[in-house]
Amino acid sequence: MNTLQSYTPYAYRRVCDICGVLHTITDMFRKGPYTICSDHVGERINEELDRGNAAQRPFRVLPVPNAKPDDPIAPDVFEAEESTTWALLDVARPAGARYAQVASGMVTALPNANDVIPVNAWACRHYYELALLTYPTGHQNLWTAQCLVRLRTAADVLLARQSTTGTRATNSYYGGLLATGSSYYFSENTSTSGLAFLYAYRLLGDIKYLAAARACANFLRNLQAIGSNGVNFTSSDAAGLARLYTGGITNAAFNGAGFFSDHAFYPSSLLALQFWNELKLTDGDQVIGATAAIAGDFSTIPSALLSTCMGDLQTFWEEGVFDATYLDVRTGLSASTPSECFNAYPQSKSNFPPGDGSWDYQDGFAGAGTTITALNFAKALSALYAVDGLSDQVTTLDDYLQGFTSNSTYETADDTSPRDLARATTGTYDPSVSLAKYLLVRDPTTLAATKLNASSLYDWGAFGLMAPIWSRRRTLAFKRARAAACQDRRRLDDGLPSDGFWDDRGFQRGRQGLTWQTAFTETLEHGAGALP
Amino acid sequence: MNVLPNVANTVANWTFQNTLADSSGNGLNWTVENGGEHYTTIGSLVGFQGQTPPSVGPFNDLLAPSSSLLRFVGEFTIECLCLGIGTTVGTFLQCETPGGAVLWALYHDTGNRMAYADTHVNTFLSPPIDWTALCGAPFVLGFRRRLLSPGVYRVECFVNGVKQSGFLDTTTNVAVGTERLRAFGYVVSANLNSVIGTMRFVAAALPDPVIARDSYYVLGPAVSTDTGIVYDAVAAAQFATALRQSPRS
Repeated sequence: MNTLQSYTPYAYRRVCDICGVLHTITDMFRKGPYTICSDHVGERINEELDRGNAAQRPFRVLPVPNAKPDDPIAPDVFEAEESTTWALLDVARPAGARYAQVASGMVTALPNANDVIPVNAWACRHYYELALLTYPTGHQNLWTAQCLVRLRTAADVLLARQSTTGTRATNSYYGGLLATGSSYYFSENTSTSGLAFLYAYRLLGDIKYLAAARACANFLRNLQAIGSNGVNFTSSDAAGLARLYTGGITNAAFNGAGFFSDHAFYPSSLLALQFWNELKLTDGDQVIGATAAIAGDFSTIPSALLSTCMGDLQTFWEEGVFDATYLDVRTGLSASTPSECFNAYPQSKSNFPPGDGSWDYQDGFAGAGTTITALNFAKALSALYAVDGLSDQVTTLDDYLQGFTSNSTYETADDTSPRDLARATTGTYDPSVSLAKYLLVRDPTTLAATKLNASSLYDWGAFGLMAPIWSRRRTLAFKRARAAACQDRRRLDDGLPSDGFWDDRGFQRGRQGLTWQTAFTETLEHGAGALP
Repeated sequence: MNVLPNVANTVANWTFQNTLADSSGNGLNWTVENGGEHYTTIGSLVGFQGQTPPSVGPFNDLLAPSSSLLRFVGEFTIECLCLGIGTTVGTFLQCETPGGAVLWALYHDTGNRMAYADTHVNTFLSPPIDWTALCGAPFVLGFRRRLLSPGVYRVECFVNGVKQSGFLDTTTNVAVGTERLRAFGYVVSANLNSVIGTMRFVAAALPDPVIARDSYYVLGPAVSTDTGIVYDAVAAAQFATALRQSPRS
């Protein structure tokens, strides 16, 4: 009992629910279920916290994905893999080589005139991406300055291969890129080089690269307009009498009077769409193509607005064109009728193999062919993704490609010794790792739709092109496959000292056996384009 | 550019890639008859140069060994990669007896026209093919002799797979059994001032589309026959995009 204070009616004493000290009730107040003394007026009770949390606006700054402390010793930026690619390009690109011989353990470039454009164009793309790469905080960026040096060198090599004789109004080949000694301009060379010029302009700021990119766009439009405006036009009939404007871009044009074309339309020609789209972003919509009916080459003026050309090209690959073998309208860039290319009429083509007005295959014409090239589809999908993101066409085709199963023809036979397996390429195909170099889309006997690998090699080039899609759609499998490609593999891991101790990485070789073998040899393919 | 592959009925296939060997398997290797062995490039391939500059040496002739395989009394198709340099009369190929009697020959004549001769005719192809216009750039030359009816042949010329012209030849050659084939010249005259790369003889008249396809095969995108354990710089550059995709750890 407190004997120091006199009694006051109703002013009894009570313990504070916050601090536990006795106070006179008249000095206290109630908040929710609690009685609180005057010393803890600002105390917030659970109900108030709940109410505050409910009223909290969402955070406007997104958290960093996978935030974790950077490892100062070995930051996870794939520097080792980037360095490997860098060193390989430094050996091959200046020599004008796509391939480097490594059988002896030494890396020796294998120059080929047809490889100069592809290796420099893809290298430009590589340097551009690398220069734009953002590194973790505190990491020293060692690449960018050297990227710019190499980007300029590679772009200048491409400039030397570009046709700039005359003007758009006088030269049908204006802007096209021609390999030394070659008689054919390939659209893919021009598309990839156009993108390279554009990237060089963006990072280096030199206007000559922008002019070169515009010229590339000009030549690609001329290739697109052969059906509608060309003298030697794509036709809907075998005799070559009725014009057919597909909107697609032909694979190649013969370097000579008449602007003869192969009238073959490959999905990989969609690389031109990606280039045109990037050009439009940087340089705005504009008229491309010859601005005059160049005598002998064009009957009418082929020039058109860039956005119109893009629309025509995209529509062609979405909707397709009439197939003279199966008598329906179809597109080869689809899950239902996958094909290597549309080999349009006329039947007899000057300077080129014959056409059948149909969607053909990598291994034959429409009536008998069965396989497609994965890289061809990967180029198309990467371009579509770069322009439209995960569109229905991209996701449908990606799902289709993931639906392939292992072909027993390429699986490892029972009782195969490790030594033999190391020297083979067999294994069980898993499409979530990467695409096989060739894909069997029709049964060789019945021609019924099928989905099996037609090669025992994973294509890591196709993997890189599909990577932006796969990293979004199937992250875990993507990570696993990338790690597999980056892993050092003992070339001949059978314990014999005579085999040496050479290691390869799958992505260096470009292709890799289904059981990760790297000891195989393969026929080297040079240049862009393919035999229809 | 690519060397021509062997196909059915191939009699001889000379790549001229710094060699005079026949890659057909029939062993019809060339040997130097006169001059020397000089090669130069045609685009991304190598070819044999028929007439070397005076500073290098005298004229070159090539001679294949006598062989019954080279009679060619019936149908045949010849395709080769060619780079024309000079416009003086030049003989590409000549099939002759050991005594020098011409059984047939392919050449460009004094009027700079592609021409053909055998025991029956000796004339330029009609309408004329202007050799001068062909000089300076690589092209694929094709000659075909095909049977129309017994004893009647048509001789035709193709440039880059496109049929140019031809004429009827109503007489078959008489095989003597000891024919020999000579390229790049006729004794010491009519030496061919050109470079010839891959050359293939087929003892059959190949269809037009096949000749067009062969032409594209030679001039078109190279599919090297090289094999080996190699690193692929283009594929590696394409793959590198994957290194920059999230998640990076």
